[in-house]
Amino acid sequence: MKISSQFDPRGGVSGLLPGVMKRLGWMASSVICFAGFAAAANPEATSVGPDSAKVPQFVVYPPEVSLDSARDYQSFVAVLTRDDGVTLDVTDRVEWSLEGESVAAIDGVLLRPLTDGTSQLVASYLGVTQKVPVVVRNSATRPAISFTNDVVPVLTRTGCNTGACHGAARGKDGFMISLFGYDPVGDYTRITREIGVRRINLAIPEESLLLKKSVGAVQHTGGKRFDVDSDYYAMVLEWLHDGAPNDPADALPPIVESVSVYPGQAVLEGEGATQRFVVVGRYADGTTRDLSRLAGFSSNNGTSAEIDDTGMVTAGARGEAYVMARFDTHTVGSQVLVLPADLDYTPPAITGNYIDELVGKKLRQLRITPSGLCTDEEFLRRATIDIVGLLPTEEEYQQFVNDPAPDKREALVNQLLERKEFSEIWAMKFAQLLAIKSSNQVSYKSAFLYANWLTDQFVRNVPIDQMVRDLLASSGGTFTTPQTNFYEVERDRLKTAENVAQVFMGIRTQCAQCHNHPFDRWTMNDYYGFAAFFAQIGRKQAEDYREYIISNSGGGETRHPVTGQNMKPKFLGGEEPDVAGKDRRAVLADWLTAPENPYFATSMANRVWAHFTGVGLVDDVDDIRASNPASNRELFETLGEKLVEYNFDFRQLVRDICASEAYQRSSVATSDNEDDVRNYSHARVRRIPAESLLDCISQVTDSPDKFRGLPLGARAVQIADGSTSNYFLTTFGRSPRNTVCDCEASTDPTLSQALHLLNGAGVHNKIVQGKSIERMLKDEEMTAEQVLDVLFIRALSRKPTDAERKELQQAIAESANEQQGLEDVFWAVLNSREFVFNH
Amino acid sequence: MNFRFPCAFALIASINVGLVCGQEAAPADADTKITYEDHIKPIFRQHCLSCHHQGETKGGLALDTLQAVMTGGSSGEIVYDGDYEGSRLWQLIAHEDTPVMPPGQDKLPDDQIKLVAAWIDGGMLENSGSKVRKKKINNLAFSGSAGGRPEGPPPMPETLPQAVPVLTSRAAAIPAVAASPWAPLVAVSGQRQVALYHADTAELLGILPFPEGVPLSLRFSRDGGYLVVAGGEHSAHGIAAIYDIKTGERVIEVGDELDVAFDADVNDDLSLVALGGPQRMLRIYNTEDGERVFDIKKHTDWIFAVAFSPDGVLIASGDRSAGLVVWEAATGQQYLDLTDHKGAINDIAWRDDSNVFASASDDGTVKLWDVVSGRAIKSIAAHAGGVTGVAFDHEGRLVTAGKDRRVKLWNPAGDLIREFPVMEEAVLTVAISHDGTRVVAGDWNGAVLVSQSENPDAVESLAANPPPATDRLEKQLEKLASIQPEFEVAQKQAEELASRLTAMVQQHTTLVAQRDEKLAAAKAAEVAKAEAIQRAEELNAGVVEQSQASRDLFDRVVAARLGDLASTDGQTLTADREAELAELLTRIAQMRRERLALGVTAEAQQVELVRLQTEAEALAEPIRVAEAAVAEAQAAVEQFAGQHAAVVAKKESVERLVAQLRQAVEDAEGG
Repeated sequence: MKISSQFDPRGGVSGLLPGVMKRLGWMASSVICFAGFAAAANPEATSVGPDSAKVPQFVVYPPEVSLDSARDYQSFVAVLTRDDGVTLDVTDRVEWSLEGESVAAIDGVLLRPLTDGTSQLVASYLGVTQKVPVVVRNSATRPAISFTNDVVPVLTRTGCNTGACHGAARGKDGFMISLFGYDPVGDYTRITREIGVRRINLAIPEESLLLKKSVGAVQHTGGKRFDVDSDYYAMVLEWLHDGAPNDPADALPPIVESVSVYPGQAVLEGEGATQRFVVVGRYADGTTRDLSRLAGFSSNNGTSAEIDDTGMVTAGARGEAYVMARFDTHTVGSQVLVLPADLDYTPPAITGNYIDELVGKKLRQLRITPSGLCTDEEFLRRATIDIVGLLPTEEEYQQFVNDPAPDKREALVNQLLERKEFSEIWAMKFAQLLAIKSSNQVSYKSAFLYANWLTDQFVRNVPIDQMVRDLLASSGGTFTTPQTNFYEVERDRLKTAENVAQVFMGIRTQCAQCHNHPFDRWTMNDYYGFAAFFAQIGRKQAEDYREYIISNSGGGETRHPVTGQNMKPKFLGGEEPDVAGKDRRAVLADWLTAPENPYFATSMANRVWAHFTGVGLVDDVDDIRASNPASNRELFETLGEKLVEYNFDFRQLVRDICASEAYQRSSVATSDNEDDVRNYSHARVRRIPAESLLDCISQVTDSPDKFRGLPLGARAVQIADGSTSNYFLTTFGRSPRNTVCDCEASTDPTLSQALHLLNGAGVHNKIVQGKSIERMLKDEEMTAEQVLDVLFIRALSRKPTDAERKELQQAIAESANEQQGLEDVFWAVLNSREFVFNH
Repeated sequence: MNFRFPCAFALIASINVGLVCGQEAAPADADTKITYEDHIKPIFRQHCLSCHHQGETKGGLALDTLQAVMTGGSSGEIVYDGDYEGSRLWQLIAHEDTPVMPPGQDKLPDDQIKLVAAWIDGGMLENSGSKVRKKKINNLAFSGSAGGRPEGPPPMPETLPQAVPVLTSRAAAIPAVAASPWAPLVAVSGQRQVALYHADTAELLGILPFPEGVPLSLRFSRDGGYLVVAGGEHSAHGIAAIYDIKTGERVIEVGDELDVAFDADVNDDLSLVALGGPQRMLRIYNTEDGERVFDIKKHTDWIFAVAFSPDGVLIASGDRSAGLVVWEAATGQQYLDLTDHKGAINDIAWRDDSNVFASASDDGTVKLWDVVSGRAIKSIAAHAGGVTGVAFDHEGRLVTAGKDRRVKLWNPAGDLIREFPVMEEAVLTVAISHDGTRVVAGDWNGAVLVSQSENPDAVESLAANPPPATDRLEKQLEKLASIQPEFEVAQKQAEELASRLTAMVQQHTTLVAQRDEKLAAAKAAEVAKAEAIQRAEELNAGVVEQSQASRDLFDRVVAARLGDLASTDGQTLTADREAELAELLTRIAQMRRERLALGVTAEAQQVELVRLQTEAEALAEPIRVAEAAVAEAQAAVEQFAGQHAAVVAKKESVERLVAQLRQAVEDAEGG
């Protein structure tokens, strides 16, 4: 044990990293995530200034109004966009009228039907007129209240069926209804018939417990949900007055086909600025409905933009938020940017490649100035760790730093991409996602062959789509065709389907196993329709008891647990393909990896992007959903398109990413961009992943590791079997490969990591065993100063600063001998945060 | 005869047929024994033994020896001698209960399941040498008892309130109906009221107001004199109240729940009330002062059903999570904890003898429990989707209602007797009338139907939302007006009949008087005749005597005459004697004349007598005719009296109802 009394690592090497310490704390607290969605109506921030619009640019939403029954109504809103991109809700300032004979009446900000016909809603503001077509149909008919389309939405909107209340799996206080109304048929039975005499009273509808609880007239754990004089109360009461009818099975009400929220984007200036949003649903029968009173509103960043029950957004602190409206199985959102009221902002010039254009565009919207580019030394270290999972050697350092070529960064990336370590890193990443590890059902041999197959795919640069196709449609023995192990690692067919969605599409469908996904579009039908692709997997034991043969059995169905019906295979968000006589998995693989598939390329590109920048455009990378929007939608889409364009060769994509200024930015934030965590205004400081960190330590100390089943000197990245680990790897958050979640591999700092580096045998022993200092001093006859430089270059890809040099030399001089002093320094360097982090 | 399984023999017979087809060896005579070795073990071998043998014993159960089969598995016995439907073995292989056996495979062929049933019924013989053991006395062998019947006429409503506390255009789901155990009286739960109807006429007899809310449970007291009503306002307040059904007076109310009371019952001597609801506490109250005697805390979910045994010794209570417990009423100590049900217990009913009770559950079964042995003696898969109500009649028959919209009647052995017409919605409650002739059921739609047990299609409907007193008053006034002519006709007819009777009686009386007069006259004639004869005879005797005297006198005259000549004096003497003789002779002649006259008189009297007698005899026929006429008139009067009285009673009852309704209307107007 070597704790040097005269050398305080905190005052020493770690003190050399002014930015890093701060970043650490900043990273730990980076819970608040900004999400954004650059909508089509994107205000190009060209100049900053006050309300200087000469000709008001305003838009009326919704773009068309359709009133389809006597009950129908539609709210509207007018949004003015200033020259500087800031939007204003001018509904109150606009003069509203209806053209010609009025088929409808304006009631505040609502349109109500009068007689059938067409008209135009006319908005006039400062001499400018905007018109919105209005169609009124069936104005004389007042359709009966539908349980599915009217009552359930009320229950959902007023929070009755949330997971914390009656939507919980076991309900609440003895009353259960489906979470966010995924099972209206069951809800109808439970409300009306489960305890036939309790919840509703058809003789005196007002005495129905359902209503009395909702208005808080009797004791209710959930308190008052709505008022007696509310439209919700009226709707439920009318339904009860009608005898609480169910929707007839042969005439089900139309389903909601889409939901839109208007405006698609708002840029609010100054705290307290407001914007009302209007939600419109479109039904299968062609009718529309104002959902502003029925949709559930939420904001993913309440600090910046709070949204209330009426769809009114109020600006808070500077930032970006995504306000969402959820109705039925649809979740839609609008981006809200909140800017300070008096910001002095000069948009910087955008340089670099297409990535930088899109990143720069977003930064301009947010009025953020990015940091400058990093140094060559920083770039060398950053790119080497990111691409090959190792540190640059001394030679590589010298060569790169002294290279005068202007495109040397590009050249370095190309050079690194050719190395087999690049393939190994990605093979490892996929091995994590595919949870490759030996277990009771997967033999070590199978796991080993499976991992080797994966590595081979990357080494041979097999396009990722082809690899995935090969994997999903695989049949054969788990030894002879190792990719079939995909179906052995997880034998549960539902989970297999979940894994495919999560790994290859970045979509988590798990929620939809038991109920419609509460924050995404996925319904139970989608879930079981997708799972049906994996219903016909056959497996039998091969001659070797460890080997199984996976095949397409051609038989077997997936049953929907609520309806009890067999589900036809249906692509997630796609059609029901013809699978007759085909291997369903092959049909799915073809669809999944097709260039036009909307999920595969983008989610893969996002994973690559996240690897290089530390945070995905959608974060987490395997949780892509409507309510977790990309921080830069355009970039997200573009990267996917590029991957398709490159025929799924993601080396090409890596080249683009590493060539971008966004990647090459300094990790030191400016006061202007220090709050930004999702928009790549400065590089993110990331802890080196466990395997690579161990490889780096072994590399700099010249002390090879030995892992089970691998020769001495093999690197941690090469470990095939997920169940092979050691204390260091486990402590530093190596993925245990229990699930396919990207979150399994962790780079979160823990106390035991720090203690292990400081006091554990690993680092010290490696320094001693590697004998590199002894070698340098004795064999190569280097001076202590030269050794010091080498140590810094090896570990940190830079030379010591003068201050460091002076202090460290003194420390070496004060130690018992030079070698021990240098070993102390080496130990201190390896314990520095600068070493452990990629910055 | 084990009447619980009347089909067993037929079953065995049919199985024999099956065996003949399947195995040549088995003879088709009724004596063939179904034995473990010959018939059952091969089935087990084929389907069960791979998991249930003594090496493996999945679930603690082995089936490869009879001993092991009798011992059962870790969840208890699997076969009950003679009760295949109650045997878990049969329940599982017949897919009557879960987990179905064998798991993950097809159900056993029907003939094999029947064979197992027959084997259990046949006493579970081991081999062909085994003898049938004597069966124990069947718990379901129930002989009716009249326990609890009150002395005198069974109580019926007399002066019930008629006002409708809450008027609704339709009824809500019917939480409860009940039937008096001794009288044709049915109670129906409505909104803040309980409507009482005549079971046979479906006539509304009165309305018990229940201002606390919805009455969720109705139970008549053992003697039929009181009605226990439990309910209240959901999530707000719950009570139980007892009403005197004659007057409609609320005798007592107990409970102060924070939610409704789902059920309550009163014990046999009306001293204790048990009450349960969503508060999961079974509360026992004293009816003397309404104070709580004790609480029983055991149920883990809402208590749905509470019922005292008819002898008042036990209380059974069931909850929403299938908890079913029997308590000692006096102490509140747990007596039985019955865990067979898999769904909410919706209703509990006791059989008259207090030895058996039935529980109706959402798991679709009605289970009959023997409280002595503490086990289910019968599980009836009564209604798919859940059984909501169950009731016994005095003969031990059961009626059940279920969410399958059906009402069914079962014999005491639990065999289906008949189904009643399917209702429009889930049936929520059911009752059977005191004499078992009528079944009352209420459904989710608010319909309450009374069906005749023997003729299920004869259905009458009762309203849980009775029309208002004013409407009913109008109706009754109309009715009164409509029966007025009938009443008048009857009245007139009665009067006519009465006057005819009077006339007839008069006529009869006259005739009888005439006859009597004649008979009296005849009697007088007879007397007169007898007197004349008597006098004649006396005269005759006088004549004879006088004639003797005259002869003497003549002799002396002769003598005198002879002497006379000799003396003057003799002459005088002769003259005197001659005068005397003449006088005597005159007297004799007179007497003879008199005697002659008497003979005439006697004859005349005789004639008169005969005449009168003849006349009197002639009157006998008219008198008989008159008598018959009187009897006839009398009969007519008597015959009409019932009819008349009925009309009068009808009128009077309507008049009384009218008076009550008037009162109700006036009260309502005044209030």
